[in-house]
Amino acid sequence: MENKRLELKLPVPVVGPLLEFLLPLARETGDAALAFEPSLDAIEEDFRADWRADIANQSQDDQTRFAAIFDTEEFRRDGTAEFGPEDCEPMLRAASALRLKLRTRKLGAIADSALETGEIDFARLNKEERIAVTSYMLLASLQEIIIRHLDPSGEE
Amino acid sequence: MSVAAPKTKRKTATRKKTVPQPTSPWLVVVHNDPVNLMSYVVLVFKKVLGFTEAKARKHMLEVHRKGRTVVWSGERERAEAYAQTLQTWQLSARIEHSSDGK
Repeated sequence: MENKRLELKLPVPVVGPLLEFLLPLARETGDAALAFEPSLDAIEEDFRADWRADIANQSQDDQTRFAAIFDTEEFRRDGTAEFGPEDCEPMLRAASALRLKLRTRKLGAIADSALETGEIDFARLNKEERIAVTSYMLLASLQEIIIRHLDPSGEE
Repeated sequence: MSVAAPKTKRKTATRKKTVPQPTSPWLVVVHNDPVNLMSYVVLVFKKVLGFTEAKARKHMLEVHRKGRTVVWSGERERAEAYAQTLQTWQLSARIEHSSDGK
């Protein structure tokens, strides 16, 4: 596993939309921090609320960390964000949670296959959907960069 | 086969009552979702379950093609720990009892 710090440089034009869209989502707390409803069918009834709260707490911690890394003067100015190895796993989980939130809340009208392949007709989307798709793809790129950083030997 | 313990540090909910444990194993099942990247799922399987790259990819492809994969089986408490950790990684995981016949 890599121990070096990771520096990301994003094009300044995408910084604004990223912050505008993702930071409010990343700062959600409590139930809203849950990106999906965990399956609790086989879990004892008495245990379910604590189980669900554990997932929400972890998700909230990860997304709060994500927001702190990107909500900086430096990122707003030149699109540069830096984080250490201890942030890689929370960032991966947060990016996954945010993609799930975007998928269910902002991109419901777009087919899974289109989002998977990236073959999307942007001209047919409204402004909010365009920003959401861009954010969704940026998060995937961020995850791919972190995964390669953590595990350079992993197959493509 | 031995597997690594869950690696995510988190507050664990306390079981409030004990129920009789059946002798047949509990399964940790991961279902397909259209959002998480294949490379991400492989990494999570390696980190949480201690899988090799080849085994992680095999299970990832099984989820992708068949819609679900059983990633672990054994006693209930450990199955719960794995399922909950996989859920904190945003995977659609659940436990099932093997006698459910699913």
